[in-house]
Amino acid sequence: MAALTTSASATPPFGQARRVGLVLAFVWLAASPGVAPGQPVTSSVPRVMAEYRIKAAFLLNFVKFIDWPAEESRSRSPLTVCVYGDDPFESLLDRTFAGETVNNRPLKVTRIRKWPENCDVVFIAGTERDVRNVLQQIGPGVLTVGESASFLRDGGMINFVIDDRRVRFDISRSALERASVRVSSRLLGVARTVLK
Amino acid sequence: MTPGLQSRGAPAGIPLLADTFWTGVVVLGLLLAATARVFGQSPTDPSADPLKQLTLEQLSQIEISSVTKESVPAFKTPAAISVMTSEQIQRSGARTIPDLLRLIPGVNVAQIDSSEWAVGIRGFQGKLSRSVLVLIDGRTVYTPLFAGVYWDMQGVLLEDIARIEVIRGPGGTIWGSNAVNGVINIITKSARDTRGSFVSAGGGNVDQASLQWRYGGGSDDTSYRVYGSGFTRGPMEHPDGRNFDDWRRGSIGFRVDSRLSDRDELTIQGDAYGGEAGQRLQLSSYAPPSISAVEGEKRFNGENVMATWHRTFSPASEILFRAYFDRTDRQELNYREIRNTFDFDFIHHLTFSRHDITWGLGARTSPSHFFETVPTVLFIPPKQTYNILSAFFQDEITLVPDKLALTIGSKFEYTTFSNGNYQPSARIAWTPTSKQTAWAAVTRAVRTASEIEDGFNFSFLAQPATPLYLRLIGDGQFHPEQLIGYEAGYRNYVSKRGFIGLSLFHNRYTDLLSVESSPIVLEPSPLPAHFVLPLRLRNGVAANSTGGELSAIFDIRPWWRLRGSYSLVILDARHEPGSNDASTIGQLEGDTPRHSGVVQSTFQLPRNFDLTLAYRAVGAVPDQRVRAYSTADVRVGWRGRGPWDFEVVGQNLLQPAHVEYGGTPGPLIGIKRSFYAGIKWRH
Repeated sequence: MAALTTSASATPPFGQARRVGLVLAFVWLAASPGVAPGQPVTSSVPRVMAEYRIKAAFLLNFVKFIDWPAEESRSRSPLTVCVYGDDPFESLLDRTFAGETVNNRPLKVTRIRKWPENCDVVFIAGTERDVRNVLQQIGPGVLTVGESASFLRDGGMINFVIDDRRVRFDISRSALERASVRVSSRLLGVARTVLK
Repeated sequence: MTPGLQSRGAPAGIPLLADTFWTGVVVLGLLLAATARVFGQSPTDPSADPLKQLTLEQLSQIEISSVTKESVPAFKTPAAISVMTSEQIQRSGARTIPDLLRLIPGVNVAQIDSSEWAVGIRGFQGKLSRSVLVLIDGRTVYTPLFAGVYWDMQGVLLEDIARIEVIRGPGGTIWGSNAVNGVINIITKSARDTRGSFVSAGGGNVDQASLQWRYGGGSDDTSYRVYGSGFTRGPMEHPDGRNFDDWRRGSIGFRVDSRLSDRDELTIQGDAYGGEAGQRLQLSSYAPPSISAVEGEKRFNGENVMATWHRTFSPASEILFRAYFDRTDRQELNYREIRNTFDFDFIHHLTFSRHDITWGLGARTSPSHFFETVPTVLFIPPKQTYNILSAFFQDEITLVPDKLALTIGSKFEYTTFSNGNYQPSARIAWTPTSKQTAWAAVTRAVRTASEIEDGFNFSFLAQPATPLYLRLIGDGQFHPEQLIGYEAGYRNYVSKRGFIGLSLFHNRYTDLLSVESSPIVLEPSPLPAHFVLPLRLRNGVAANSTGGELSAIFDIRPWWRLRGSYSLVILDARHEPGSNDASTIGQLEGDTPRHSGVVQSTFQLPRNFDLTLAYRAVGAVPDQRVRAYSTADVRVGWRGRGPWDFEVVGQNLLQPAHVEYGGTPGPLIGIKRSFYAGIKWRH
């Protein structure tokens, strides 16, 4: 190797050994039975996944496990999930929510920077600075989801936590009741902790 | 080791030699095989997202991967990595990128004058840090002419930075060339996160006036931003009263982030900038007066544009294509260089069974034109094209689920000035509990020759009476510097409120750059006849460096966060057999402080006030005649009710001025105590 690296002449950049190595790599990549990117993994639960893919899937479940009021005025408009401030999901939320409906209402994802907005769910990223202030402005009937340590103390309803490298969530029952948001008992059952 | 595709740089360039044909065929085959497999899948129906089929209970059981960006802070990463977030950047009060880097353990930053810094990682601090790779959104800003980074030209809006990742130690496996001692990776925000108007204005005694403006808009599918920025900075403290180093820079730029489909994300961004800064140099000439100190303005400008296409095929497979063009024009008092760089990168990330694989290819061609300004500073030939072709492969293998992971990989690189370098690395991470990680790594890395080692010809008058000139000669006989690095680290969340991390390293460098003298010759032309002592750039020095970084973060109260770090580097250099180098060993051992430490305390105060205090102590730099110093920075921020933010910043407060580095002729320049007040408006 030393000869190769020190040579200043026009030595071929790939020696024989490397070419063999590359061919082997080629064969390995082409033949390896495990390489099946893109194949849906429906039969088994994936072992690891990016944090925000998991959170996006959770958010979809939250939306589905809420008893949304069946008012005539709202039932025709899309159910809107708002991301307040910086969006850590990038395009993941849009992809996860694409084509989904709840009570025949299509789901829509928007990013907002101020309140009031027409949202049914507000997700506030952990990078947001003044969570308490934002939460105070949000009126009843809107589900608030966050991911910061003091989110429930600040008045939020559902908070993502990372526990043992898994995404879990805590629920504040009092915040849900104050805002008249009704969630399924199944959601309460899966929550890591339910605060009174 | 792999904090996300977006942030990864895989530089390269093509030595178009005859035998590359077969290489090309094989590489193309590889690429096609992979893509064919990927494209051969049934189309990814969005509703086929596996996660959507899962119950809440199942979702609660999935482990977060440490691979994709934005996941939990690099806790399991088997490398000495530090991440500085946008919030930390804003709260630091720093006005420049080098000032931000002072807060990161293991990074040695010393300011030379108003516009120049010497930055190193784990030693090797220098005005052009040739062993540190710096990337902005994957675009390398490392210049191959003198091998290093011109910090005065890099004009990212600090407000637009999403995070800065610094990997200390040989990060060569993934990151591309010259990442021998580390990588500094600056990642800007998506245009989706910068919508609305933003104006920031302020001024002070050093940062005399600065104005930044940004407007962002668009929909969730396609967002854009445009920005403009400019500043003028005053000189530092000069004992001789020659305040030559004022600095002005202006820049404009844009970024568009567009979601082309459910799976495709396209980013196009670009910047244009220009500026000037005063400098002082000693110029030698063959005709009398043979040596003179000159002061004047260095001028620079440049443009770059980059496109990044990110496609997600499935949760287990994603690819990224990136292409950019970067033009720089830099004119100092003793040379001018115009460079055009074209770069293309491809990265594929896939996971299956126990493997998490990232591989990629890169090609770069960078023609440059060196203009002679004085007859004693030459590049031969003046026109040169620097090419790199590189490939990398990395596999993170789960040995024991949740507990033990082995990462192996290598980079292969071919450049204009070196043939075939392999840079393998093996890293192991052990996570006995969810609160702690221990890791260890062995890496081989190389720094390949730059144009300076290939064609630099620099003459300097040493004895006016004789007259005798010293002449540095880069003649292409330099071969890559080599490093075998041994690293280990430990991270522990000691409680819900505390984190400590320790990184240790022992690096063994061989074939480091040296200057080897040969017998003095008489040179009749150009007239008058003069003597020359040739100093040829060779590989005559070896060195060992040993040290580590200890860092800690404690949330003492919900409103009070304390961070601290201590960094140690002990460098021991020696001649390799046959070397007669007289200066390099002293520089290597004496240009970087052995000890440095930073303590930063941030307080969230009532009524939307916040306060940041930072204290740093930095050891002596004997080769630059610089003594140890300590100083402190303070920032008070206030977030008004409306769209207004205010800040007052004091930097280097403990003395009127202190010296951090030499690097210019004449008396050492003091870095001034400075004050800055600014106002920000967002809408």
